[in-house]
Formats: sequence, structure tokens, C-alpha cells
Amino acid sequence: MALPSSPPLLADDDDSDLPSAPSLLSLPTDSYHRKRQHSDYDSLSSDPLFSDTTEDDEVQDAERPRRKKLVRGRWWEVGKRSAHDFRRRMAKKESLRNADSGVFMGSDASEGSVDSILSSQQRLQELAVEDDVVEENAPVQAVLDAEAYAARIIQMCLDSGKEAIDLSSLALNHLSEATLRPLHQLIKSSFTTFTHPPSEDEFSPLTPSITLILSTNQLTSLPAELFNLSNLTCLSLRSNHLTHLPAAIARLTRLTEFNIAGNGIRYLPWELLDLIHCKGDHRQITARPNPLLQPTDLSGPSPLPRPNYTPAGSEDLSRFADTRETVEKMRVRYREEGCLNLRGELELRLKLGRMLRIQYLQDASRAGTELKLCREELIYLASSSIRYFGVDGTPLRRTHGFPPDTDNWPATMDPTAHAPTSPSTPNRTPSLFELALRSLQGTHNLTDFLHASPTTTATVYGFSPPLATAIHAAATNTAANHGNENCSTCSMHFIVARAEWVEYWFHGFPSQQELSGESVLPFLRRYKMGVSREEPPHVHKRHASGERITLSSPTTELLPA
Amino acid sequence: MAASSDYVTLISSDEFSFIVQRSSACISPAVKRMLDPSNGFLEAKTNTVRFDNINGMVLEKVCEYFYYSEKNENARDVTDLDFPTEMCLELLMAADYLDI
Repeated sequence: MALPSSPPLLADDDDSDLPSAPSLLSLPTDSYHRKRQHSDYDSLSSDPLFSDTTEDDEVQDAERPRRKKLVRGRWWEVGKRSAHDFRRRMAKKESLRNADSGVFMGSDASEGSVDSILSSQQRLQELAVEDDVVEENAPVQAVLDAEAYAARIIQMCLDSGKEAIDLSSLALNHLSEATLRPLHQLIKSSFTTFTHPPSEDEFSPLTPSITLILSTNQLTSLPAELFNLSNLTCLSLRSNHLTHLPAAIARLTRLTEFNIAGNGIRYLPWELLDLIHCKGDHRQITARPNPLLQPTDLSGPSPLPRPNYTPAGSEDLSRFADTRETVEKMRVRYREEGCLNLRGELELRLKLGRMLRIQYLQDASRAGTELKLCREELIYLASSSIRYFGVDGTPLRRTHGFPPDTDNWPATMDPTAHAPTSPSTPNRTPSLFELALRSLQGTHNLTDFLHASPTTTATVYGFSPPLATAIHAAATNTAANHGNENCSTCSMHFIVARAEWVEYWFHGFPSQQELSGESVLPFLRRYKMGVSREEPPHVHKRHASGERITLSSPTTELLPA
Repeated sequence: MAASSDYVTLISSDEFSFIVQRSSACISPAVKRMLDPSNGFLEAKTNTVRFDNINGMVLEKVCEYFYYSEKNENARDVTDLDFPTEMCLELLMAADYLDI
């Protein structure tokens, strides 16, 4: 009776349920799983029951060497992609086979097997569809990768307290606000070695002097956050695809080195003049090579007979001679000789500017005031003709003469020649249009109900195209972005500019006698108020830029009345 | 009515009429053109301008702006005209129409 060899029956034991649980679960999946394996096996077998053309193609393709050329992308994705292709081809084959006969597949299984075939097929197709989606997203992924990489570099610099952030040659074509934002938290590492106690001179402020190198990328616009990084001292944007520079660049007041060479920039913002005009501290600003505007053709020799003329006896200029009179005399003489073209006029102005500068310096040294000077001179040369705009930003009609060159902004003797005779608002109060737009900007989140482009907004809401453009400008200028532009004469904010013109300034060394294209910088100025012929905008120039004008260039005096 | 009185009447779409100084109203180039006798519009004869697309509330603000603008013509640091936020868009469109 007693059977010691057999284990005791544990039918009443609860533990007996445990081993059975997996088998119960595995039962429904079993056939499915087997089917999967089976189908996999079929597809892998080199010799199918039914002649399968795709399989043959595949073999042939594999034998051909030029098949390799079709593989694009990064090497670590190639393997993945070939797996995707394989799975897709399998799915295709599966459907083909299913269309041919169900008998072959259903030979060894019960009724459930048909379902399992179908489900496995569906699963395969799903997989194939998933793979397709992934492949479509691949380029987007690549863009994110470049930026994610940039973000990682920034994070690494942040962790190690490194002040030089090198994001060059990453093929970045977009830089988002969020990527740059962590740089606000950058703290300079105090001292790196812990082998000795910190000496006296190792105690320095932890405020960093950030060096941000974004050169050799494909940036077309700059994130607004960049201009909030007030600790930026060196910024390189060399070799990008920028076409204009936002005025917000003037907010980076600690900048000592700034490079925008090798972009598509045609003119600089007026605000950059504040940076270029260094008060003692040297700033290195590289603006060339860029397709910058030229006031006039500056190639070839100077038309003036004595280009090397330096104001001889400049020491006593301040004592008795009136510089302006001298230059006026020279001007008259040159005009009689017939060699005073626009370029000659520019050279005369440069001469006058230099003489006035010397005079000013002499006066200052006599008075005993201490002056901070930079090595380069900054002298106003000329303006282009002023372009006027209506309240909603549409260009106003020219009253007389030909319309000025819309693209090249050539320098002219009479910038106000094309002023409209009947100005729409001849006073300094902002237009109602501007006021309403500003209020709209302040109270509503405009981006929520605007469409992608001004033209679609115009058609959807029935706005006129200039109105839609103005609202779009208001939406993009919000505080989160660069903010509204400042009027370059009264430093008040505006959305719709009413006038704009380009000013040409000489920026070079005093030793440079002749005016050349390399030493002239164009600055775009935008003006906010309604303008009239009686009161051209540059009358306010002096109070706007204050000390700079009186020091290095007598702008208002040089302009024609 | 006289051909060129000192005051003109602006009538809104909901029949509110505002009598304002001619010089102020002519800040708007559009109104100025309408009231110019040489252009021969009916408005110039009757000294009355009807705006079918501007309602009374907005037109009142527009008239306020006319006076505000004339008063602050040469003043510096003028405080901005204040208006209710719900009126912004309508004012914007009216300003676009009147070119002010």
C-alpha cells in the first residue's frame, strides 16, 4: 500500500496551482507563436513551395554590387533599415501567399490557426506601417539630433563650469530658446585643483564671461534668448546663413568680440553703432566679408587731386580757423575744377569729420577733461534717401523724381528728396493705428488666432494685406521674442516703422587716408513717427545718440539743410 | 449749410453724429479728401461724413484721437491714448480705413 518512492499527492495544496498558471496562459499564444515561427521559417527558407518572384529578386539584388549604393544615412541605422525592409518584404509575401491558397498554411492546425495566420499577418503589416512612419520621420530626427547634441555640449559646459561653449560645425539650422536657456545658470568654476589650499588670487567673481561659438552652422535666424545672455563677451556667428541682424544685439553690452563674417548680411542695425563705438574698452567687431551695401562706387583712385592731404597745421585749427569754412572753400574749389562727384563729397566729409575730431580732442585736452578713445575713428559720411511708409506700413507714393533704388540704398545728397508733400500725421503723436496695435499686442495673445502667413490671415478674417502684415509683426515682436523695435531717434518702441534709411559711417584707422569700401559700414535706421518735409527725422539725431555724435562726427551740421 | 464751416459732422453707422472741428478731422487724410471741395464729393457740400462701417463707440474714440493728436502736435513724451481692450481690433480697422 505504502509507496514511499512516489511523491505524496498534494492535490489539496494551494501551491499546485502555480506551475499550471503559465501553461494556461501559454495555450492561446502557443498556436500563434508557432505560426509566427512557422511563417518566419517559411520566409527564411530559400526554397519556397510556390515559386516566389520576390524571393528571386532579392537573391539577384543581393548578388548585384550596386545595391549598396541605395543605402543612405548613418551607418548605425543601415542595419536597422535592412531589417525593416526584410520585415516589410515578408509581409508582402505573406499577403501574396494568402491570396494564393489558405490550404498550405492551415494544414497542421485547428480552426484557430486561420485566425492566427490573419493576426500574424496583421501584426506584420502593422510593423511594416510602423517602420514606414519611422523612416518618414528620419530627417526631422536628424535636425533634433544636431540640436540635442548642442544642448548636450551646453550641459557639459554647465557641469564643468567651462566658459567657452563651442557649438561650431554642428550643421545646426535652428537653435531654440530652450537650448540656450540653461546658459543663464552658468557659473565659472572657482578653482580646479584641490591639491593645495586656494591662494589669494584665486578668489574672483563667479560671473562668467561666456564665449559662444556658433560658427560654420546653417542658422538663418537667431533665438531671442541669445540676446538675453548678458554675460556674453565673445560671440561668433561666422559662416552662417543670416540675412539680417536683430537690433537686440545692442543688449549684449559686455561683448568684446563679435564676428558676423561670411553671412548674407547687407546692412547692420543702427543699434550696433553703440557697440562699435567703444568708449575706451576695445571691441573687435568683424563685419566683413558680407555683401554689405556701399554708398557709391568706391573702387579706383580718389577723384580729389590730393587724396593724401592731411590738415596741415592742425594744431592751430582750434585756435582761429573755422574748419567748416576751410572745407567749404575746398569744396567750392573742387567743384570749379569739376572733380567733385559723390565720392569726392564723401571724402571731403571724411576730412571734415577728422578735422572736427582733432579739434574736439584739442579742446578737450586743453580743458583737462579725460577722454577715452578707441583706435578706430567713427565718422558719419552720408545717408541714403529716406523711404516713407503710411500708417499701416505700406510705402508712400513718391511725389517727384524716380523712385529710389529699392535694393541698393545708394547715398544721396538730399535724403528727403522723396518725402511725401502731404504727410499723413505731421506730428510726434503715435498714430491711432499704432496705438491700437500696441494695445492689441499687450492684451491679447495674438499668435493664438493668427494663421501661418499674413496672406492667409488676411483672407480668413477679411483684413487688408498691410493690416494683416502689421498684426503679424505685432505678434512676433512680443516680449517673449525680441520685443518691439526702438525708434532710432527718440528711442521709443514701435511696431510699424514710418520711415527708414541707411546711413554710411566710416569705421577705420586715422592712418587710412583714402576712403575704401572696406572701411564704410551701412546702418539701417528705422523711424517711428509720422514725418513731414518740414521736419525731417534726422533733426533729432543729436539728442538721440548724444555724446557719440559730438565726439566723432558732426552729423547734423554736415547734412544739407 | 455753409460750404466751409469750422465744424463738420461725422455720422456713425448706428446714426450717432459727432460735430468736430474741421482742422481736427482733417488729420485723417481720408476725411480731408472727402471734405475737400475741389474733389466735388457730396460730403464737401454738406459738411457731413457718413461712415457705414464704423459704429458710434469706435467713432467717438476716433474723434477723441483727433483732438488728442491736434493738442499734442508738438509735445514731447505724450502719454498714450487709453481705450478699452475689446475695442482694439475695431479701432485698428477704423484707423487703417481713415489712414491715421
